[in-house]
Amino acid sequence: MKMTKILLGLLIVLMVFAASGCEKGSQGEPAKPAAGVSDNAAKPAETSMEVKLYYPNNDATKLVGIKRTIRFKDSSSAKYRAVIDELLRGPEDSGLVAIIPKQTKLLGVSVAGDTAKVDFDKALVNSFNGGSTGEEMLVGSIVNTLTEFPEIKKVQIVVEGRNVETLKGHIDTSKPLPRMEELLK
Amino acid sequence: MWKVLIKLALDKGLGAIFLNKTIYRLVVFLGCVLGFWGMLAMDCQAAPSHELETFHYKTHTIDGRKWLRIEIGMSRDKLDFEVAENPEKPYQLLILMKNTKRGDVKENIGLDRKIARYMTLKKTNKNDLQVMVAVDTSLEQHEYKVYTLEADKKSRKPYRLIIDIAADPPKPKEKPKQTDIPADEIIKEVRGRTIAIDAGHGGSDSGAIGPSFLKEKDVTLKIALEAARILRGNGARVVMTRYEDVDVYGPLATDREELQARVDVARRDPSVEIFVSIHCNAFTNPEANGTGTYFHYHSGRDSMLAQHIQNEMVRATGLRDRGIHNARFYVLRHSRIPATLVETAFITNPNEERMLASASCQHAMALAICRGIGSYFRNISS
Repeated sequence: MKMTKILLGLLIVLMVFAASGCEKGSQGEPAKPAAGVSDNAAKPAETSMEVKLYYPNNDATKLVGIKRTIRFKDSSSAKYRAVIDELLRGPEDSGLVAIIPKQTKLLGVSVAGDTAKVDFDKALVNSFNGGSTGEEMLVGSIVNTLTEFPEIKKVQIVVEGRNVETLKGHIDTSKPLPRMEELLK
Repeated sequence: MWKVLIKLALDKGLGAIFLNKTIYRLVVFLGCVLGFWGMLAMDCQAAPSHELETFHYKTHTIDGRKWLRIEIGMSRDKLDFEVAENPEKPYQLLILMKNTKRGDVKENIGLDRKIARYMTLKKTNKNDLQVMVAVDTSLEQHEYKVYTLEADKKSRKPYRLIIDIAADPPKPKEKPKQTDIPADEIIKEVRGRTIAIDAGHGGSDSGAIGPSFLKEKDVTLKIALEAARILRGNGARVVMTRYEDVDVYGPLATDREELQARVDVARRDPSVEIFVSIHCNAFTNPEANGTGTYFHYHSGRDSMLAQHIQNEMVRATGLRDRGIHNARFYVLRHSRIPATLVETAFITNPNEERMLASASCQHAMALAICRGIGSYFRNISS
């Protein structure tokens, strides 16, 4: 019965390999801290704040602002990420539309000067059907929600760290966009 | 695969490591059974036996006629292939290479851009390779031959597949006619004007897709071609960004390259006076409906052009008037002439999707756009 022993030996070796491989994988990707949040040893207190989120109405004639409360730790920059996380949760009102595809993941929000940079994964583009109105409303809901913070005047949308010329062939998103006041009327 | 490996291992005599004869016999028996089963299974998943090794193309002239020759060098001979024309896209020549792997040859290859634009190599569901050659116009206009050549040791050429495509026969020059058009298509103001028409999206970019899977790129092309026909019938010159289902820049272009290519079509020709891009609108909620027109403000003429087209679109379609909008759209911002983007109707709204699919509605929309263009020219020249 040498055969069985050889096979058993091989199996054990394989299993050890597989197990070590798994461990390595999980160590290689530590959980990312929220963008801009410094990892203080002392836990910062949770702050809450009332914000305004913008969603398009069902027939896409305008963006409607609704009030929500967000909670976040460390008030310096975590609030920007928290507000987009809240926006991604979608509206509760059935008359409004969750315009950002629900598969979309927020990768980070950073602020430099008066410009916020919002980074999403590729689902923002790949899971989105497009159309001039769809694109205007999607971009407008992100830009107008962030420019509710008085210190933010412009918003640059990036996909997986890269500037994008356009999401679906209409709006030029290569540069930071100012607030889209015309969508609120 | 592993079944084949076991068989191979046994063939190579590696079975000798099994000292116990009964186990050895059992393994041989199992190997045979598995091997046989594998062969049965391989019937639907046969291992590819051909591989592409080289790719060349050139243009040459025979008897005053220009030909494009594509040569694909193969790893071995006796290739089985089928030639067909894509019934839905009459400019696509399709060659199915049986039992063939793409090898190191690229998936998308640009061609001479005069006779044929580009070629794609795609694996089909079986182990076959689908070669698609996009010629510049319908295949009806081209003579073509597809055949294989044996390996030639003298010139060091492998066994190869040859695709020969002849250039267009020379076409008689197009003359602007104004006689044989229906009375309701007469738009006098466009005579002698040069207009760029952009059919939105195309090729690898299907644009928005409707609930019944209608594609924006197909609708925009039909409306654009119909508008071009009407304008030409009235004695206008029309420059189109595309005449068929293609990417304007190329299949692997960046978004900027693709959109800039559309703007450049108008820029290359200094006589072009206006740029009109035709699109279908889309929204996440199917309720959204209506027709709207976009511009980017460079001068008052941008909004004027948009408003004239919008008025005619509302009148012709009876759709809800979404008005004109100033927007930062790439093709509008980068245009140096008055430019507008018409969002004909919502492809995501089931009723409007049906309209967009119907030939009579496409005609009505094309005519409305042309009338809008006509009234714009009347306005600026008065």
